[in-house]
Amino acid sequence: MTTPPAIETRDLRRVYRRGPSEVRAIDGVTLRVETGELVAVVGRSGSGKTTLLDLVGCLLRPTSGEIWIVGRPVSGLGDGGLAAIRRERIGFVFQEFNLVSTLTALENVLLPRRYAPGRDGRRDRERAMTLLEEVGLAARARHRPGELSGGEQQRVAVARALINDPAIILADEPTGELDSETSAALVAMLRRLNREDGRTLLIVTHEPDVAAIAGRVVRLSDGRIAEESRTV
Amino acid sequence: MKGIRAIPPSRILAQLGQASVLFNLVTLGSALIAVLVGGLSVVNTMVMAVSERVREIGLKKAVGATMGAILREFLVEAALIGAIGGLLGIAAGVAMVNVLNGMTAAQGTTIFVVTPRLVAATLGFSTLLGMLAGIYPAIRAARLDPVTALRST
Repeated sequence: MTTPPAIETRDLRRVYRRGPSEVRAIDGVTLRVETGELVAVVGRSGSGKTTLLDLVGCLLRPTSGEIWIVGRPVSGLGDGGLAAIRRERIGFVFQEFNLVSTLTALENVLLPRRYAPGRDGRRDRERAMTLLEEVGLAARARHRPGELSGGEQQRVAVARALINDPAIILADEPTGELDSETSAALVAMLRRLNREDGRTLLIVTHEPDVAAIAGRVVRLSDGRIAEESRTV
Repeated sequence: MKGIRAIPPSRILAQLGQASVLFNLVTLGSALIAVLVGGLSVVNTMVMAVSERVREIGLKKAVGATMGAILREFLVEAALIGAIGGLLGIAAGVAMVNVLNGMTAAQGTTIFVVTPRLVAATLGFSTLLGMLAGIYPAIRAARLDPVTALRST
C-alpha cells in the first residue's frame, strides 16, 4: 500500500469579493507534498502564499477545488472535522508567535491538548516539558511570553506545534520577527524536524536562508504556481 | 369618649396589608433592577473579553478548538462571573440584613431572614443569569473566523 501524500491540492481557488470586483487570492493551485518533504513557498507580498497556507491548514475554506490532508479529503468537512484535522495532523508556527500572554511557556505548549481527546494531565505535562527541553527552554517553562525574547517565544511556538505529534508543520514566515542569529537557530530546528523526525514541512517565507533548507521551492505569483524548483 | 378614636382591627390589618404590598413591590423592583444591571454587566464584560481576546480565540481554533469548545469556554467564564457576583451579593445582603435586623430588634421584631435555601437559590440564579448573559458574547466568539482572528491587531 502506498503512503498518501501529506498534502495534496487540486485546482484550488479562493476568491474574495470586494464590491463589484473579485480578487483571486489562489487561482487554480495543484500541489502535491509528499510525506517527509520540506517545501518552501515563496513569492511577493500578495501572491497568495499565506492564503495557500490557510487553505492547507483548514483555517479557510476554498471557493472551489479539493484538498487532501494525509489522504483525507477536507472538502465537505464541518467545523468539527476541520478542527480534528488541525488538531491531529497539523502544527502551526506563525510569524508573530501567537502565544497567549497570560499563560506560561509550559501552559502555552499544553494549549492544544486542551481540545484533544484522551487527555492525560501528567503525561501531557511530561511531554510538554520534554519538548521544551528539546527546544532548549526547560528552564524557562514557568515564564510568560512577556518575559521571553522573540527567539524564545518562537521556540515555545514550535514546541506547541509539536505537542499533538502532527505529521505536518505549517509555518508562516517563522523567522519574520527574528534577528539573523536567532533566525539561523530556528531554521536549524525546522530542518531537524524534517530530517530527523520525518515531519512534512510547508514553510511560507521571504528569507533565502529558509528556502535554502527546502527540498523544493514553489514560487507563487498572482495566486498561481509560477515556478517549482528542487534544491536538494 | 372624647379624644379617643376607635379603629377596628380589620382596618389595621388592611393598612398592614397595604404596607406589606408596597414593601414587597419596592423589594421586587430593586431585585429586577439588580437582575437587569447584573445581566448587562456580564454581557458587557464578556463582549469586552471577546474583543480583547480575538487573536487568542483564533489561535485556539488553529490548534483544534471547535466552535462548541469556544462556546463552552466563554459560557463557563460567564457563569463563573455570575457565581462570583452572586457570592459577593449574598455576602453584602447578609451584612445588610444583620444591620437592618439589628435596628428593628429594639422594637422586638426582625424583618428579614436569610435561609440556606435562599442562599442556594440566589447563587444558582446568579450563575444561571451569568450564563444566559454570556450566550451572545460566547456565540460571537465561537463564530469568529480563525484567519481574521489570528491576524487581528
